[in-house]
Amino acid sequence: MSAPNCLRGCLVQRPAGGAAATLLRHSTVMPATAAHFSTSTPLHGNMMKPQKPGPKSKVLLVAKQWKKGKVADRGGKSPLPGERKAFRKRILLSNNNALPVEGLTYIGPGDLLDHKNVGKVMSIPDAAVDQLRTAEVFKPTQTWSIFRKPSMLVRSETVDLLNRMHTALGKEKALRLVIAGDRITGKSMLLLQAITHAYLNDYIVIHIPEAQELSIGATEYAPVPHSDPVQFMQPNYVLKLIQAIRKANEKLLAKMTTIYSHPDLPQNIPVSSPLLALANSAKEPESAWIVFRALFQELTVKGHGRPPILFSLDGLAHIMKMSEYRTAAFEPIHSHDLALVRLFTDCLSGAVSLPNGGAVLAAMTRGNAPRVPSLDLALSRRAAEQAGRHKNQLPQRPAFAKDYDDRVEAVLQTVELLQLQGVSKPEARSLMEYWAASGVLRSLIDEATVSEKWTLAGNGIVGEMERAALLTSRF
Amino acid sequence: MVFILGVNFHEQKLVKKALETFYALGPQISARVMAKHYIHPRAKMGTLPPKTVTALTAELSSMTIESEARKIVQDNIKRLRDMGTYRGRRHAMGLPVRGQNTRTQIATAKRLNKVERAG
Amino acid sequence: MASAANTLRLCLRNRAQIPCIRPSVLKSQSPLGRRALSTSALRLAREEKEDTSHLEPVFEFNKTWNSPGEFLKEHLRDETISPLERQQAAEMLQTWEQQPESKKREIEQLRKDIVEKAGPLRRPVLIKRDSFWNANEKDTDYVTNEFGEDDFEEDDILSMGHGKLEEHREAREYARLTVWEMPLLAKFAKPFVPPADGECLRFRYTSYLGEFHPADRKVVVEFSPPDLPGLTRPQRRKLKLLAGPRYNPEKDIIKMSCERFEHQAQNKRYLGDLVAKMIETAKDPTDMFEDIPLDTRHHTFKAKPKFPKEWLMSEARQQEIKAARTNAMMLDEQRKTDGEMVDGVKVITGALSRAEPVVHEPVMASRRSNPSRQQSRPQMRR
Repeated sequence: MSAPNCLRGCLVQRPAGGAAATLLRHSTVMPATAAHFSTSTPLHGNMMKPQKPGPKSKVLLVAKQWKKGKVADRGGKSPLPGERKAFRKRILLSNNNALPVEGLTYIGPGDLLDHKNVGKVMSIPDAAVDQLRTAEVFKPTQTWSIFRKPSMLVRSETVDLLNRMHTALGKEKALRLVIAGDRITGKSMLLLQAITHAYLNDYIVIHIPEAQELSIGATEYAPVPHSDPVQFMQPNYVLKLIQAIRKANEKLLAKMTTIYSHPDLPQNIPVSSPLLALANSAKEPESAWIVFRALFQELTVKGHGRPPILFSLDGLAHIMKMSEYRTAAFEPIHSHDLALVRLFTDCLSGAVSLPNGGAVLAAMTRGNAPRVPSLDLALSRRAAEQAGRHKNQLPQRPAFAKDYDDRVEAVLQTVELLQLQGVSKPEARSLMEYWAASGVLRSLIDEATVSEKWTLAGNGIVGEMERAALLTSRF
Repeated sequence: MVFILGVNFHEQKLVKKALETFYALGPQISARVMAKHYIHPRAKMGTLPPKTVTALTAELSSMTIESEARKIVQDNIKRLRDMGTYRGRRHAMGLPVRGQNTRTQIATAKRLNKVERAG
Repeated sequence: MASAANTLRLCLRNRAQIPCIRPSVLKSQSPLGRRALSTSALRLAREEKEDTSHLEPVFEFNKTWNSPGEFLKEHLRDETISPLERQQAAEMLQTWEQQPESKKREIEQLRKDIVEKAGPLRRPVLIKRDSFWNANEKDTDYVTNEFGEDDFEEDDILSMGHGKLEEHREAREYARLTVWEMPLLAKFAKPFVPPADGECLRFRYTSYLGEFHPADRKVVVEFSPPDLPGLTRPQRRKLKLLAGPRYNPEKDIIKMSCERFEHQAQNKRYLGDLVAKMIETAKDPTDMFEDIPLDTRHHTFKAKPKFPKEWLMSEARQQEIKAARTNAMMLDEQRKTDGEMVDGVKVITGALSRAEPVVHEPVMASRRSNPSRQQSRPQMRR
């Protein structure tokens, strides 16, 4: 504290002039610098005058701006609305810094059914790439932007799944299958391969890229008029979907013609007009759902040159619970009461059949997905059934459990299940050779390296292998 | 720029947030109002059709919000003061009403507790 | 005899001794006390002889009598005593007179001896304030020359050291007990007899080793439903349903307690009756609760992961791995000879060597391209 020190100073030093002078001396901030060889008193003139404020310092300026609540101007223009989202969701499919790989063949219509192609890396033809891009099948989290051409590894599970689709096609029954597995095992990728095969074989593909867009309350919704029990349509989303379907399946739609007359459409589409016209008639969100329903009805007509349909969805868990929407009476809406979701679940459960064959595929997602006990139970029951367990020994709902949903279990009663695990070592080897040939993996690909990366990836989980080999700067 | 009950909102503003800017309108009522008019929870003002905007305005004008709600609060305080209650006196003096310590931390009370309380 | 003892006591006692005032105190209150502010000389008061003849004779406080006879004579001369006392005193005097001379002398001598011996006990021990250098000290043990009294002769240890030795002693005490006395406890050991088949109830009691405690009346019983005789499977299930949260599904034990009553025996009796009632209800076929599932929400089952047997290394597995490795190496060799081995490093270096070097064309800096330069002259149209 200054007071006792001051006092002590005063008492010890005993300057001439007494206490008053001492106090004065202690209070002055600036020392009185007297000139050395001078008898005149030091002039404090300059110091005593009030200091004019100099040129405004930057600090002061910023502080003033902060006071007023303005953000400091960094210069440049801010991005337009939607630009940041577009940048975040952009899909880059080619990278000229990667090397072109010799010996890469394009996938043909029957290549993914051939067992000889298991373990090969094949490129996606350009037409199919455009279709996949339109349908939003590529995901920004996938590693397409590292390589020169979009290519993928043909797994044994791919060939297995597509052969199942093919056999179902022959029987004119749709394959209803759920792709499940641990995270980053390649579920969405497998779905992509199925869709590629579908495009190459002239299927009609209806793909819902993110099921969570339907159930988290991010798009407009409205009750479907005259529906009992009441269903809710999502007109804006369906409009976008119709446009994506039209653009991706343009050639096929142009070849087909309408069978029914649809009186409640906004535009008059007479019988025997091309389905493309029907799809084009959806210009406003209000009529989107009616058009979609009509389109679907037309596509699921038996015969009449209708191709098989692949109805796929990514992120099954989001539509197997209550959505974030509410009715006018403020009751929560179950996802299955949303019209588009209802259509999908009806197809998945077999209530709505696809008479020209095809497939209804649903891929699970483990990143950003809610845990739905009913879904897990249903899938575990399917897995047990496939493993050959007796009906009475299947996993049951635990007693007194609250979160279980009958509707979900009913939908998944008779679906097939494909559990994805890691790839085998030969498949891993071929994938890593592709990476090395592209110039993005700087190491010798021998059994030791393959074994190492395969093991690090938890016995071959593809996403982990990418993380260990592709997405690191370690060598 | 969308007008609801005379207040202008930017098109990028969330409808939920816009509704909650009104006095005496909070998350519960805003959720109910939005559900009644089938507005999804993440809707922005620019996406609302004009029909819905007018419907919202009509809905809001029928509710006791803004000046009506403020009037209720002021009437309550006036009633307390006129009855001569302790709470009324505290409002009049601008001191904490709910039994807080007055040794420290009475700045908020001094600022807000008035007989003509501004909500 | 009581009266003689009483008389003796009365003689020996100094009647109504005044509480002794310390002479030092008296001294400080000397009549020649200095007055604070005075310049005049001190003068003693003139001695005035008091005429005390008119006053009554003052009772002498410190008077002692040599014999009971003297005291009794003096006592009889007192006029304020009651007739009863007078009579008693007269009788006592008569008895004294009748004693033989030798006896009288003996008693007087005894009294003298006692007084002499007790004298120092009664006399106030005055602190000799004016003695210096132990001049008046009789006991030479207290006399020291104080030099070197507090010197440390290196013959002791700190109290911490003593503490440590004490610890060691304590340890040795316990070691002694362990070695010599604890083996003797083997005499009290009872051999463990596991419960017989019919003894399916295990009771737990509490004792506080001699204290009274409110918790020592609680009795806890544990039993396992499969141990109870005569229950079928559905009856056992019903019993578990009845037990509710008292049933531990992992250990298959029902555990119940009772502390309603004041005595352990009462609580135990209650529990026994309760178990019997439960078994009876379980056997009752009226309602077997088949549709109600067993609720185990009160118990969290601990997952006890065991190391999978398949992962254990065995000779066969070791051989397998070895074979796979040699196979892999051979495949690698094969690939190397075939030229199918892909080497990322070679690929990259090859590509870089084949790539054409990027030539940067120098671009002349124009006025227009530099925005920071001030536009001093108007731009000329070209």
